[in-house]
Amino acid sequence: MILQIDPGLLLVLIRETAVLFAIYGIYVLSLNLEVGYLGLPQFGKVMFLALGGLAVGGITTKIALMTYAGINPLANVDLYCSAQQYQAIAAVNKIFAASPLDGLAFFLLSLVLAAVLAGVFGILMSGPALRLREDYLGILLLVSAETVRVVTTYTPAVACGVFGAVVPDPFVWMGDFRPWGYLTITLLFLVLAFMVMERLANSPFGRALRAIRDAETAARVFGKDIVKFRIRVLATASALAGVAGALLVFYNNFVNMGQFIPLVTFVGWAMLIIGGMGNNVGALAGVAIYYALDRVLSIYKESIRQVVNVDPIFFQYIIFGVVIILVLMFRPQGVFGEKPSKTLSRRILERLRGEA
Amino acid sequence: MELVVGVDYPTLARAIIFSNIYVLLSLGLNLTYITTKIPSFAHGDLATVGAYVSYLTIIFLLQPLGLPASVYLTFPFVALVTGAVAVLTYIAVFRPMIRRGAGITPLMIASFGLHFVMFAAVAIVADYVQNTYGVLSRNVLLAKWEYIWPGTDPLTSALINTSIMVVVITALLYLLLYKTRYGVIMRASIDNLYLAKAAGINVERVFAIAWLLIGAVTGIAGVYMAMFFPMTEELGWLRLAVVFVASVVGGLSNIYGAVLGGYVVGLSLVLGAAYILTPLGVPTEFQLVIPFAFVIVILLFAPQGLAGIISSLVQMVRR
Repeated sequence: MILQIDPGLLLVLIRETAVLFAIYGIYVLSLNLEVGYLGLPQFGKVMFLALGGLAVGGITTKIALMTYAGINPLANVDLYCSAQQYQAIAAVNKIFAASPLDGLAFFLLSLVLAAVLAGVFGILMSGPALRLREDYLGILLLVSAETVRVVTTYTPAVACGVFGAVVPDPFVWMGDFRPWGYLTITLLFLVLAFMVMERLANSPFGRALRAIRDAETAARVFGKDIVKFRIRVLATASALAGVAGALLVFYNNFVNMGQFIPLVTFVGWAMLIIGGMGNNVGALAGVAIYYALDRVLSIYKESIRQVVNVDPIFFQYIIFGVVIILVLMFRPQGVFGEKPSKTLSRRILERLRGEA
Repeated sequence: MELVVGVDYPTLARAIIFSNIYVLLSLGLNLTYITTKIPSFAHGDLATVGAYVSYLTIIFLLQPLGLPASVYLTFPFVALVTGAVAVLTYIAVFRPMIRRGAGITPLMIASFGLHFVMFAAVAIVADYVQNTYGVLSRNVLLAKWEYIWPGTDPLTSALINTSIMVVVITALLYLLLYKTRYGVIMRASIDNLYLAKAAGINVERVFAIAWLLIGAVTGIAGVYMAMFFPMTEELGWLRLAVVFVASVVGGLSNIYGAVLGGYVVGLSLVLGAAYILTPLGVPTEFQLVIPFAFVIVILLFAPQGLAGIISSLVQMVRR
């Protein structure tokens, strides 16, 4: 059964899926650094995505409003959130439409702030991460993420609370090409993140992480400072997830802190487990498989409905649940298993030694 | 004392009712932790299953047969079905994974996959029932089928009933674990797995029975949950974080830690919202932060939980 889809519509569908793929790709890559390479039970990952969103929707949007439109949203938060938001943001967008440089400055400032905020929280979280056992640490991270969500959602001053905050569009000057432009930008960030993660994983740093994960005592004997490694990993991965959160907010040009529920964490885990932990290509493959399945099912939604009269989204949940369990049971390494890290070939090593 | 005097009856009653519910839920979670070494993310869904089994039994069995529609008539059925579902999850997912030597994190993620399956299965049943039979299957409250004691209001009855349930279930668990031969076997398997295996105990069968208990207790707790929270497929999942907190505060590896943790969390949640947050002008949605702050402090400074602290204090006094 093949559905007739308008090619133009299909192109839009592919484009939007590609943007989400890029954003979640960065998110899952950062999760892979913590889970795959360090073995941390990171059940609070969504917290860092949320902090990235908060940096944009809660902080830089206010800065932009004050500098470009002369509006102080904090003067009367309720009025601003319920009535003035759209006009105020439209005024800022008009300025960005005229001067791309201002838009880019706003975009970069947002990303930097998102990375810093999430990174600092990651360092804070490394305190308990050093002390607690696996299961307790998982619960602590989950509960911390929920705390962040509850506090930010019900404090209107942060990002308009339950209303959600509209965010200025830094690429409004692209006009009709905005969706394609944004796709290019997110893909650029994905490639950058992938390259950094690959280099990190194959560097002595990455090998030390694997050593700590597999044999902590042995790694300590060889003089690896485990505390330092964990703090660095948490800071790097959290900052990267913060960037992904900021990109997600700029994709929607809107953020509601209530959207960062624990489900987002586990969807990331599902992608990583299907693709393969400890392998960056696997992480991205997991994201791709997830979205491919998701989109195919959503295209056939109506046909499924005609067979059984229930919402097809629930079949999707069952499929993902079963796939996660089956992968964990029969192929714990995922589709792409962990590969030995790339080191220099013996010939090059010997030549280097000879030179030294 | 000012605070205690100022507490009004409905708020206190609700606080105790919610505590009772959380006690039952975290009892099941602690048993899960003891048998599989993980806090299961699918635990809340067992409660959801229990609530729906009770509701569908009333609609499709009790009412057509003309029997008095009371949730208590559905309890045997609820305990059986949820128990069976719990045993099935243990046999189909956790046991094979533990046999293959899966670690804690993969097991927790598998329990999350299980949550997906159970949550969606309940939703599909709810959708199907609603679309095929025209029976309202979401946002129902089971409170109208609760037994009302003569001469009391619904709130008092719920207070009495949930309290009786907690007392009965903890007493039964105590009798089972400490006064029967099977209890000795079960405690032996929990305390020292390898020794129990060496002594010829079929540990896996013992744990399967434990999962039957987990399912039964959690299903009944789910029925009580659906009296106060609107019944949807997310009934148990949405409150799972609080149950986790109750279990951790009490101490995950101690069955009776759940009782302590349930009361600490339930009381602090409701009373804290009514007497600390509201006077300060903080929105009541913030009430979740109270137990969360609690658990973060407990985990950082006393990961063995309150039950662990109390038992070590007792030991210190004895010396």
